[in-house]
Amino acid sequence: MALLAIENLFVEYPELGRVNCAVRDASLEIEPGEIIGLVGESGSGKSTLALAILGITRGVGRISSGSVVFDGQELLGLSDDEWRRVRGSKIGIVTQNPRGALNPIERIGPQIQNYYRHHRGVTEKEARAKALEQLELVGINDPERRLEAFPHELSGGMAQRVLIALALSCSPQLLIADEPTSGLDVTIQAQVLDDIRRSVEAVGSGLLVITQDLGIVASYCDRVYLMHAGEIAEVAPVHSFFKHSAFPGTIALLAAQGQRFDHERVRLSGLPVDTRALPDGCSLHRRCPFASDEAGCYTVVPALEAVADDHLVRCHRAGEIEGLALAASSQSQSGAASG
Amino acid sequence: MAEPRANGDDLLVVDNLVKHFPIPGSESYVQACEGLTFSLARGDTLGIVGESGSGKTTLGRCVLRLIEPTSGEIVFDGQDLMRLSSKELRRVRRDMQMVYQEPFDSLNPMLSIGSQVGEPLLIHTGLSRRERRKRVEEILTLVGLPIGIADAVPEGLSPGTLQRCSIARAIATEPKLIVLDEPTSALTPEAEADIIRLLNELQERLGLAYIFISHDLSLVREFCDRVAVMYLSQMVEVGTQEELFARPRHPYSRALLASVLVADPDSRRGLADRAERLVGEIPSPIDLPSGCYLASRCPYVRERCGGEPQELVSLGDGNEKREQRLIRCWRVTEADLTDEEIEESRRRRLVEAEADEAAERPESNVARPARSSGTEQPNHQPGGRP
Repeated sequence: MALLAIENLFVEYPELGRVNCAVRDASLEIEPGEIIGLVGESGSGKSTLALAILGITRGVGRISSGSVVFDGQELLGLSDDEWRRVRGSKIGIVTQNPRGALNPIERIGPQIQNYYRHHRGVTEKEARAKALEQLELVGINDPERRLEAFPHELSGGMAQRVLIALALSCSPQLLIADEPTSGLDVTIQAQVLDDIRRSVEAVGSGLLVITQDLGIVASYCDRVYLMHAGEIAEVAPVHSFFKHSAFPGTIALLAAQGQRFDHERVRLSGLPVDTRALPDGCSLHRRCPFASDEAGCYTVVPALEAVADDHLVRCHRAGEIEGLALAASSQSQSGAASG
Repeated sequence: MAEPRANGDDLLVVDNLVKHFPIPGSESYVQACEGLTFSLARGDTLGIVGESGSGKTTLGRCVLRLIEPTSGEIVFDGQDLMRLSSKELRRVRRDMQMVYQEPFDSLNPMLSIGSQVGEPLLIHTGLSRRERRKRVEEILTLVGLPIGIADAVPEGLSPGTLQRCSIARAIATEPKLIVLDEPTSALTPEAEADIIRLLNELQERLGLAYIFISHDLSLVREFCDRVAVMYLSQMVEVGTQEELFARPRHPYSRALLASVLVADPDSRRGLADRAERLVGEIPSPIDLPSGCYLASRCPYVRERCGGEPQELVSLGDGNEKREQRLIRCWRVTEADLTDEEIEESRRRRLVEAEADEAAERPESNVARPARSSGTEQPNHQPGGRP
């Protein structure tokens, strides 16, 4: 049984006179011990989807339909009391801005201890021992001293690791990490990611990593979900995602990071799609270099369909897109060589 | 100093640049830059890499004298910048510009794009209002923006577009040097690729030289001719992009490159890369050790390392100055550190890493799919996955 199964989830933001559907019909599964990458442009709905797992929406948003089953339990519709037993305790989250997530006027030690005591009901002394152990686990030197530090006294990398230590202290069965290393330097990034991976492996938890960095995806993830304009547009094992990409947005993203394709030939044009004013047909068609009338891109909404085992794509031309993109890329290369 | 003095090709020659930031109410100071000696040829790109706090940004600002260096010499286009009065400096400034990391913060939200791109022309040229407007439109076209954007304000424009506006402003006076301080780190991968292509085009057309400050190593590899690796206020290794990335020599550069995550599942970072990683904490820039700054974290440390400050020394393997490889580590430059020792040390740490890994992973998880088999290979061989 999957650790987490999201099915047909919709998240809406009512706006003046209309509804902005930020996540549409999203389904996602995580097995115990699996590391999942969730990628996509900014504004594609990654963070909205991740927060919805915890039953949280920003501002006036609401989860309008769908289901989130975690460890056999339906989460949507839980009472506040029931949510408190899930959030933090069974599902942990590491947010993007570590300093914003820590209380600026409380020392690090009490923050971790109170969190742990709240969820586990242990004594103060046990909580302190746990806090020390957690800080050591995420590679913080001299943890005794760090317990006494305020968040502003820590470097960005250190604050991020404190937050990870906090999230992992209750050994959650699922950890959601939203851009966990976006503000960190490369050597620290690798350390932090290794720490997270080691910790979730140690307890056999699932891990959902939200990132725009394909290097992180390639290096750490087992499977990848790519979102576009609020929908899941491609789902694949990490190897297929990079080597047999079948969604134009994925190909453009790979090209932008210098992988396999020519950025100039396969790029998406224009601005990200506004989910408040979706076009007819495929939501990507105005930006897609491969959109065609015959395939139905302008009129028919594509479904998420299998192109191989475990590999789903939302594109009318999924079967031919990689060949088209490679052909376009090699054209430009030979053009450049002769020019 | 290691690098020879100016010749005709050099646009910028920096000698022994030092920047200390005093700490108010105490005798001590933060050492942000120390003993920086380098040169930049016309039309060339020098990449500055290193972790935050290593002094990259301070270097960029000191070179333009946006902040006052504590000591050192900066010769730009044949003029000794340190001896110029502020009035003379202003005249030189049209030839050296800067593009900042955060495009939204570096543009005035109240002013139109046109007036901001045109402002350097107002300051540095005697062009009339109409001529300036015409020139602004030319520049906007050059950076790939529609002319109409001149009347827009920054609000509502995408970060990629705003960064083009910043670049337009920087090239307005036809400078010879632009310092690019993390110009793409606020952008999406796609916008980043666009900006890099634009910078390349402009360099080709206008003969610009760039100092490109970044912590993104793959970007530096793609974009730069020469690269300097900084660690704690010093340059520890300088070399051509090709050689430095193919064969980093300084222990810090080796660790830095081993941390890069490649967007290719066939070259997953394994235990071997983890073995290359440094341990321990970075010393405080307020209280630096007397010897090599890396000594407390270096896997190849010797007694001598802690005792004497290290100099940046040429390996003497490049004929031309541009190709020279400079390294701040006596064990490398005096050929004391052999490949065998490195290999041996790597092997030892690999065994330790494997043991750690085994100890931390409970029995039930030993047979995890995919990851384990890729990580046990000593090098990244393609096809590491089962």
